[in-house]
Formats: sequence, C-alpha cells, structure tokens
Amino acid sequence: MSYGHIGTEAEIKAARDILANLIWSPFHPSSDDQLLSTRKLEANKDLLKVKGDTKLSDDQKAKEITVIQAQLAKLDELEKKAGANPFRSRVAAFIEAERAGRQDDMKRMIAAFAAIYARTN
Amino acid sequence: MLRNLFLCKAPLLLLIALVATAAAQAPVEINFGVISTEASTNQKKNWEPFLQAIAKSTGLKVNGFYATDYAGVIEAMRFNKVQVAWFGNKSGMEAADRAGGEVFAQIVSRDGNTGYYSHVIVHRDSPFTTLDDILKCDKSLDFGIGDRPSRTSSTQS
Repeated sequence: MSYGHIGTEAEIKAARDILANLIWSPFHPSSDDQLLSTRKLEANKDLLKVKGDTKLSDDQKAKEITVIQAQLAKLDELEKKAGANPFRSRVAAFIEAERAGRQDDMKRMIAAFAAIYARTN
Repeated sequence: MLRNLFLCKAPLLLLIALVATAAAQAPVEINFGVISTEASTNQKKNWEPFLQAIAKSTGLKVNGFYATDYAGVIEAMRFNKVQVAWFGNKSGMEAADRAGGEVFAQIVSRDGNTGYYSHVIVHRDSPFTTLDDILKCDKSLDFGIGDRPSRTSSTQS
C-alpha cells in the first residue's frame, strides 16, 4: 500500500513508472465490501434467468424468485452496513491524504490498515 | 458515426490475498497470480518489475504465476499454490467465496479512476435513442458482446 505513496521523490517516481506500465497508479485500501455491487449484479442475473426459464413450473419459479429476492435484500442490507462502516471513511481519509501528498498521515493510516487485515486473518 | 446510449460505471479490479496459510511461520516465498489478458510475454515484461518491488520491500521471494484464465488462478489460490493475486470483481468474488481469499487493495488506473464505463453503441440511423428503448425490446434484438468466461465487463452487462 505504501508503494508509490511513501518514500523519497526518486523512489516514488520509480514506483509510479512501474505501475504506469501496468496502466495503474498507487493502490487504495479495500475490503470484501468492494464485491457487493458485483454480488448484486450476479443475483440480478440469476433472477432474470429464473424469470425467463420456461422449463420451471410456476410454483418452482415463485420459490426460486423468493430465494433470490431475499439474497438481494440481504445484499442491500450489507451495502448499507458497508456505507456506515468506519472502514469506508478511513479509505476516504487515505485518498484525501494521497491527494495532498501527506506522507506521514499515509504512513500512519497504512499501519492502521495493516492492523485491520492482520486481525481479520 | 455511432452514438453512445449510456454509460455504466463498474468498479475496477482488485488484489486479493489468501486469508490464512496452514503454516504458522512466516512464508519465505509467495506466488503472485496474474491473469494473462494479453500475450504472456508482454505481460511478464510489465509485471516482473512490480513483483520484484514486492520482493524487495517484503524480503520474500515472489514468483509470477501467469494463467490464461480466471479459473486457473482461483483454483491455484484454493490449493495454496498462489497466495496473492490480481483479479477482476467477478473472479475476485469467486476467489473470496471458494478459495479463501480476501480483498485488501483496489487498483487505481493511471488516470486516477477506480471504475470504468461501459458503452452501448448503436448505428446512427437506429431507432433506439435511450437505454429504455433497448431494455423493453425483449428478445427481439441481437446484442453483440465480448465473450470471455467470467469477464466482469462483458458477461454482466
């Protein structure tokens, strides 16, 4: 996470050049919450599939639709939770420090993120 | 001249780490999974300096694991043949669900964006001018789309 963010001017430039070859800039911290929107897309895809499935009986169809809709409701709930999660505001603070080039702040934040990842493991 | 019907922002790619390895001691060597979206020699040239930078800052030996499909990297992570990998959101979701992976970093593109836009394009003389025009036309239209298994940007559009 410190790659291309922390270091001397020359170190940062070298890191950013290497990342630029991959068409990237330095990374942002993230979590499994990043996957929620993809999970919703997947569930909606399943929903359309079931709705358009001519082989299913009406009963079966209704049953499967209920299951997927419950999944979608749960994902909405998780998304709301993720929005209120302090992790999100920490990431926003990190991006702000990145924009301002405040290396000391970023260093401190990266250490805090590392501690979060270590805990979940 | 083609027209853009709409733009839809999708989240960008991510890096995933295997949550737990069986060994309690710190590893001395890791394999970094990369999906070869282009010729792997090209890709290697761009990835190796990055992997070497990880090696330098962590003191670990870092090997590039270049696979030609998403399933290859997901399976490799599942069997601990790969510990860290670069994924798209769909394949990353599968790695989190099936291979014990956890998202820890989001890739930011060179221009600073963390997402990208999909475009739906129609012929200039097409009767369709809004997204609703094509959405309500169920099964009466042919929709051309890139086909690559598990590719978030096409299969989920």
